[in-house]
Amino acid sequence: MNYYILTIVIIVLTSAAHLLLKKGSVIAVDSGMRMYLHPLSLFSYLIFAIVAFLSITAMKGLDLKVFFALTSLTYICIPVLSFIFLKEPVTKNKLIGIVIISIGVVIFNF
Amino acid sequence: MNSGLIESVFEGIRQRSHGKIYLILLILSILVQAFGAICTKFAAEIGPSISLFGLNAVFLIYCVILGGMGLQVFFWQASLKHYTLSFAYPFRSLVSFIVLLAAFFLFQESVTYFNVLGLVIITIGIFYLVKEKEFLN
Repeated sequence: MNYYILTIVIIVLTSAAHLLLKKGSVIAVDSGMRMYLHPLSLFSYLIFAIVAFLSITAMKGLDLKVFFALTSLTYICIPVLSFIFLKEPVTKNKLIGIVIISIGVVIFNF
Repeated sequence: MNSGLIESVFEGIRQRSHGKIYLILLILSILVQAFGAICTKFAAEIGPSISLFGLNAVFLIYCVILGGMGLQVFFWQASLKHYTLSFAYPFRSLVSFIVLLAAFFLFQESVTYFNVLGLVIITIGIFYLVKEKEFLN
């Protein structure tokens, strides 16, 4: 059960890292900074490194198949969080595409 | 000839080629991510006692994986400068397609009907995203 909780933590951290990476890129470009050296970008790289370590730990207790099926939830989480926090536009094609891809990923990992 | 028309044509060409660079960066990040996944599998498959160029082979592959991770983040972040995150992220599901081919041809793993059906559905979803017009920052 602890491995499932760890996988949820991984999903949350991965989603947060991608949001920070995107935010860092936008802020850096707007302010003329190098986007790879923006503090938000650097922080997201750190989160990615932590996620890599946590993933190895989680995979010790979960089948690879189960782990990838659970982490596929990021395909839903990240677009939803982008709509909320980055104010990205929600369109019909985008929603349909994301839903279809999420179904496809779940079936792929069956 | 109307110079305004010529300028607008050149501007259109410039914008199109500019957009293509970011699409190439997005595809490169997906390819490098898939390469990293394949290298991880190789590292897991080979024995710890095997050496390459006088160094431990697993250690060398891990170095390649780390380098690939850096390269992947470089391409990914560069493409995010152009695309919205909600548009670009679902494209990463294409990694499954490359990994499945590698699993079948390189590692002789079995491919199930669910794998193939899942990839067909993912491809349909990608087509919907490609039709999307609101993908720029």
